[in-house]
Amino acid sequence: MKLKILLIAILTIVGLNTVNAQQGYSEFQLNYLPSLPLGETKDFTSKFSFRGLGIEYNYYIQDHLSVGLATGIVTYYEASDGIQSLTVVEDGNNVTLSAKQYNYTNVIPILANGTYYLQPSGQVQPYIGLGIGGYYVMRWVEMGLYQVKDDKMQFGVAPKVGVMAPLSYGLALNLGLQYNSAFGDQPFNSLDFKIGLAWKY
Amino acid sequence: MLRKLKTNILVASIFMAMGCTPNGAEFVDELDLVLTVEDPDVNYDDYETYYMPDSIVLISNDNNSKLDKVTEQLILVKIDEHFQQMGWEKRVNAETDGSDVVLLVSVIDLVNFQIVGWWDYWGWWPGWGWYGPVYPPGGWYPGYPGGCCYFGGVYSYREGTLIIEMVDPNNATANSDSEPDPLPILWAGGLNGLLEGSQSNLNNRIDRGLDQIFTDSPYLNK
Repeated sequence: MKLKILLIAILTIVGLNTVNAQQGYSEFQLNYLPSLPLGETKDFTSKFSFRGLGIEYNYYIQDHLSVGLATGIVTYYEASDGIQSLTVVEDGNNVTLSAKQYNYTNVIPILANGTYYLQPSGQVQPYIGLGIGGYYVMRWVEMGLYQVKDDKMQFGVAPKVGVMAPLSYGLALNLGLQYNSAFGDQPFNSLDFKIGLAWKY
Repeated sequence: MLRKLKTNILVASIFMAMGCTPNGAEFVDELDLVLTVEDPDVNYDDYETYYMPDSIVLISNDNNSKLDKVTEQLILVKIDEHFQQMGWEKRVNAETDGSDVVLLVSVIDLVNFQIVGWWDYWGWWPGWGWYGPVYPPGGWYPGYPGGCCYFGGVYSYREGTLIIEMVDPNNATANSDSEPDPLPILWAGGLNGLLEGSQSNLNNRIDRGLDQIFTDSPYLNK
């Protein structure tokens, strides 16, 4: 855990110091995030999500390199086709609940980002990057009027690839893929499809 | 102009994000919940005969609230059918024959009803005369193993919750104080959401719900 905190701190400090030294320029991104759940996340909420939104702030240290912060929210959801049963132990008794079951996963990432642009002056500007930080993952099950909820902050990483396509002065179209992997006893995994706009100023 | 556009997009996005969690159930029957409680320390094979009073107790704080007679009979007949299909023997006269267990069927017509002390609702039943050493001065209350008043302690109620409680009247111990004494609850089944929705689909939902209660309780089979 200390190593993770140290990594985030180093990335942030190096980024900020470089920002001060280089006097670069800023970028704000607003992205629609349709997302594919993977692994255990898919087991719990299997449906492809069209409910996702992300914002990013990046500071360009050089034309090729930016650092920044990203956050957003994505909701995954699945309703069972029929009645599902769940047995829990309460006060020493075996309690079986049966009902139509609604599973939800909401995730809010808070990531420090580093992005490298392969052709920063091209008409199409491919990039690769890595996000490191926390994922606030909210999982809950609804059966009848009852809800069983589990919220966790999990450490994770998010490699990403994509392209920027300048549309006009200071405005670009952003298309990308981001793989999210948050670690823990209930890992969170997903693949985001980013479609958005980036303003540089 | 660009700044105004950015602001508008950001505000619209925030509203989109706030409304992005799906709502879940759309129809009332999708909220129906079946619940069964098994005591793992009980060997259900030790119990073979049951008696069930011929009416359902409606627990409500509305004096005008009534349980439809057809619905009441439907519930009792279905419970009878299930127990007999599972190999239990029905006793028809508790006052003369007794039985290993008594099935108490209640419907709660309230939301968030405080069920502690509800035993008075069954105190009228003449069948208690056959069982137990003595009917305690304060009456009995359902003594769930491991915790008091399981249903009331853990769950709130939607309007119309059906509860079937299997009590063991032969193992009740009565104190001489004026406090209610616990009556062992061996098993319980509940169907939540019974009285909501149209009457036309109510029978189907009761049917389905009772089937599910006994599907979830295979250990009651003889």
